[in-house]
Amino acid sequence: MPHFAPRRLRNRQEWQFAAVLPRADRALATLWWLLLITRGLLPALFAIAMGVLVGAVQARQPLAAALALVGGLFVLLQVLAPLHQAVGANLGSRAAAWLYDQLTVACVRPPGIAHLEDRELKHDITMARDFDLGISGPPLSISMDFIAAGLVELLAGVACALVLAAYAWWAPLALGGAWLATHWLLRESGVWKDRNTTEVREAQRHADYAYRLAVDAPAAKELRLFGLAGWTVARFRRNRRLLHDLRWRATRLRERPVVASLLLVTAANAAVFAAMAADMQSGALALDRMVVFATAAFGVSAIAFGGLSWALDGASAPAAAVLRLREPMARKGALTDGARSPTLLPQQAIRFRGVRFAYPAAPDSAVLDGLDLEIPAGSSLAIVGQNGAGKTTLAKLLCRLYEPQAGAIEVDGVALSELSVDEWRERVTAVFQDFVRFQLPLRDNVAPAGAPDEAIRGALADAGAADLAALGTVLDRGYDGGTDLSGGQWQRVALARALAAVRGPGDGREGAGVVLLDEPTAQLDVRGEAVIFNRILEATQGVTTILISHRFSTVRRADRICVLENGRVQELGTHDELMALGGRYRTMFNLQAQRFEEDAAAAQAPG
Amino acid sequence: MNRAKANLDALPPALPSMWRAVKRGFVAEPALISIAFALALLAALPDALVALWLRMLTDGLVAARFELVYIAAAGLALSATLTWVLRVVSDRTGRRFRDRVAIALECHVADLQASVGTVEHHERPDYLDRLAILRDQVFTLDHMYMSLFGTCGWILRLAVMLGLLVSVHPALALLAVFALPTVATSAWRPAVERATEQAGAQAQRLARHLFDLATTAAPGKEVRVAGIGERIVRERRAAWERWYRPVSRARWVSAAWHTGGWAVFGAGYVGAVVFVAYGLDASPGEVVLVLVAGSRLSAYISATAGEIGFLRGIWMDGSKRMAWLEDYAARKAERATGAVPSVIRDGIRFENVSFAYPGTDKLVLQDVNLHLPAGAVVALVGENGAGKTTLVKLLAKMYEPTSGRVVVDGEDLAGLPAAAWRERLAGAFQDFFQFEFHAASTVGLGDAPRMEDRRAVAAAVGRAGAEDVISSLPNGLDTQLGPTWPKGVDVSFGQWQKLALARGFMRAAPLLLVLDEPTAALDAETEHALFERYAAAADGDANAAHDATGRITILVSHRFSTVRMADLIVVMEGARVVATGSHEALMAAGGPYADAYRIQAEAYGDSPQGAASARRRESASVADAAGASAARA
Repeated sequence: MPHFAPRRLRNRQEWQFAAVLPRADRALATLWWLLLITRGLLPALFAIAMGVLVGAVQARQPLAAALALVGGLFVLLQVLAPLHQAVGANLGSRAAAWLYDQLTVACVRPPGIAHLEDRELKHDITMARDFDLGISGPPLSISMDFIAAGLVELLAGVACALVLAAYAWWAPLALGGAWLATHWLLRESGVWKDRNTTEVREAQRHADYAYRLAVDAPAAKELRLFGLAGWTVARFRRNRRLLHDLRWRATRLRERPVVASLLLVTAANAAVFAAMAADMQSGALALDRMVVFATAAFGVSAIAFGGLSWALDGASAPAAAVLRLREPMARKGALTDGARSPTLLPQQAIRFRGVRFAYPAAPDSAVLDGLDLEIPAGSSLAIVGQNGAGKTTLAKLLCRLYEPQAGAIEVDGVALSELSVDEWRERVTAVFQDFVRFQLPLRDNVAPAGAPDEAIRGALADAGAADLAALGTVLDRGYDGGTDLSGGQWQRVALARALAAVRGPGDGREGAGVVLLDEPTAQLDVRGEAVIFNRILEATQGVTTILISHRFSTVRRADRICVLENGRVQELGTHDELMALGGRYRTMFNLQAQRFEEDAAAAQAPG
Repeated sequence: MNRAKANLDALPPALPSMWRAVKRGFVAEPALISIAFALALLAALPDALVALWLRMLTDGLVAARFELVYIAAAGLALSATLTWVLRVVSDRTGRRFRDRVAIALECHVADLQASVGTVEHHERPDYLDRLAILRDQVFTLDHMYMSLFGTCGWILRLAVMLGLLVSVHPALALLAVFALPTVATSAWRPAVERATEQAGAQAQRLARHLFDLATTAAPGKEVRVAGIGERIVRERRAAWERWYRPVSRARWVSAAWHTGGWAVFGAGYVGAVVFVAYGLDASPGEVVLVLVAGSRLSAYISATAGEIGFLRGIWMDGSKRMAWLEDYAARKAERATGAVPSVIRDGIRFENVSFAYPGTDKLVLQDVNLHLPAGAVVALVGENGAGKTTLVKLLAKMYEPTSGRVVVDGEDLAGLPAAAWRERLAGAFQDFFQFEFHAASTVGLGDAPRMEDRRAVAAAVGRAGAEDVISSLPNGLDTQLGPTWPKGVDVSFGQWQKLALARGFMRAAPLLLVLDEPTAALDAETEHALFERYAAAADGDANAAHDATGRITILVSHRFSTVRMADLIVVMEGARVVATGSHEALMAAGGPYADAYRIQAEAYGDSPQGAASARRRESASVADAAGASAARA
């Protein structure tokens, strides 16, 4: 970005947008500006050429040179427009891609995830994507043509005004000034300035949400089951109308500025054309010059039609938003990054020491509060507890997605915050409840970070998904040759992903030494669950395994079990120890187990 | 894909589609559309007269008739001013009209998609490709009207210009012929560009998917743990480049064609000027007229061609898609007139039902014959992918069977209107949607007419055992769900599931209650509480209302602890029903059900061994079970 521009200009979103173009594609951006300037100058030049030709006709001189001039300019006038359009469309696409890149990088780079959960930032991301989603305007590839058209016209008007200066010094000032003033007088009705109010944003989001609800797949089944089509559409209409009315009121055409503009414009035009007529009568204005100046005088009106188009506003607001987002995202998603390498850790134990954690959105309600827990290296620990007890949060903290507000997590006595985040995450792998279903080939679903095919096949076999599909098959029916998996099949893929991480990337680096499994078998069928879980236990021998589950049939097989309640450890021990203890664990286990003890089912049911 | 393309119906023809869209606009905003059209035509005139004024000015000067000079000068001033005034007013009216009609159209499209009875258009890739463009670009449709009016305005200007040229010499009308190549390329290329863009729809979808992965919190966890952030950035860009390369090439080719077309017109123009200047030995006034009229002509042609290009490229395309969607919705609209029974007496029967997802050949259900008796709790069990969820979808009329029929008390389900039938359904799906509204609405949506009925909502919450979810919310039922909304609260996946379940329990007296893996993410105690309720329903006499309607409960589950209490267990394997019966009967028969049951029961067995030895024991017993079932197969 050129830094000679004054700060106020640089802070304008239009300027920031202009600065994005060369960064997206320098060659195309240069060509686009060159074409724009040339196209802007051509009408004025053509007016001069017309004067030359008419003068020659009147004087009965040879016409060849004048005709060549007129013809050449005319052809240029015609052919540059489509060329400019193609350049603009491609430049717009590339600029959109560049903005997307910026946005993805800004989201992906911060090591934490708090910035992705922050309400304000999430909102801004939605607004920032508008350059492509076209909620309030066309996508950039189309906008560029509108933007160019406005600027070309403005430039053409200015160029005509300059030509007119050769007639009389005051004429361009009067006409140019009058036409320019219309922009200023009608500024309120042009672009919607105050659209970033809460009311507007709310209406926009509600409308968008309802629209997506109606037209996208995820809610489709329930929308039909419960007959909600009409309700959703009505909700959309209401919010959309509100949005429109807000905008309409903000940009209403007011009577007084219109009348003022009209008077100004009429007066300026009358003055200039009357002066010309008078000069023609007095013989001061010859035919060839008259043709040039009259055409130019009319051409000045392009100033009123050209200018910064509404499309420019629609394109630059999101572009500026993208650039603005980088800093707060980096700040919100920051974590302290340590320098120590966790290679081969943990050798002894992972220890939670007085850990307190509350999500940034609700800082007062701690999910974990005074959590103390030691997990010996190489052993398996199962965590049970009610929904919302903080089981998943514990897993997230161990992955270093957040920092605890108090206390510490230590690996072999070293605080997690002293370890390199990236390297620690190479040591950890996790299957979350809402694991990612990549719309990518099976191969990438198992090893998103890459691994040899042999290792991938092995991991798939261990997860009982050996014959699921070819490694190159995309796991989504929306792609050519793609296939859909059922919930249980997906779960096997997710497990294979964790097992592949344990095997390591195949380039000599160690595989993961800590495995987190958050409800890993919830969607598996019975036979699948038993078989798979055995295989997992085998494949993760010697690896520190943390299993979160409601299924006590799997839970009981962990080396140790921890009951989490109210943000702390309530009970901790082996299955047998906890059964003997007769506390929460035993109650929960019996609830599930009794249904298999057929005869005793009724008798054992607790009051 | 080729095969899928082949049986995808063609888009309706362009002109009738546009005419339909125009009619729709007229119905939505009759006054605004008329005013906008009239203004668009009126705005064309002052500008078109400029050539005439300039000629008059020249003639007046040459002939020293200065009254002509003054009239022409006034005319030029007036034309400049009026052009501006009319354009400002016409823009304003146009914008108002466009916004209003855009709302009407967006509602129309949303309504069409949401009210089609089946969900096929949400699951078929070729339909998805087609709809994705319409869905995201409905906004372009409102431009279509202004574009259409604008085109009329440009054509009017063109006519005036040609009239002026012909007034000099009739042969000058031929100039219009030189514009034909331009008009042809403008009409032809946008469709080519459009097709190229659509061919890249999959790459674009992938780019969007990867973008969502990078920018949303839930996948963000795994993206970080797996350390694939940079890879996602790269792959997203790569997917985008796959879309962009052919698209940009098509744009350059278009530009080349347009340039060629305009060069032809330019040659014609120069020829016309030469013809007038040399051939006709014309006056300076006539030369001025031809120069100005000719260059205006080109501006108008390029504007018209541009508008037609837009019309063809986006707006005509949009209207075709909309017309297609209208036709599709109309085709899917039911002519079913049957009356949904108020009570089920006999039950629901599947008669030789087979089903393959539209656009595919693979049968997901094959020759299913099944009787679901009135008043029964029926459990569907089977391996993943055995067709359980598909069977449920057929029952909810999300799809029609490929062959065979589903019969409710003797009435073919196909003959019952989907909306009326679904009013008597209730339930929850495995892939439930997280409706981010106030908790009361999120639950109340399950019975829209009683959405505001707090007692009904509270009762449903109770039935689903979701009281703890509600009580954990800061404002109870009035809490906004979803952390991205103002004052919105994030709830866990399991809590969402309970709310989905509560939504499924909103309807008071359903004929059919569908529970597709409702407890997968729930904790032990909740699952138990729910199970007790199913058990009560299964006992029958505990629930008089259920007896009266003959309600059938369908339970898809992997949890044998729950399944075994069902009246009827349907065992599915490889798209077929392989066994039906009660728990006791199936256990006695010793099929795959009995095997699977024993595996799970053993896992809970009261073994005194430690975890390590349990591991060994389990693998042995599982191997046995697997071997046994393999031998049977």
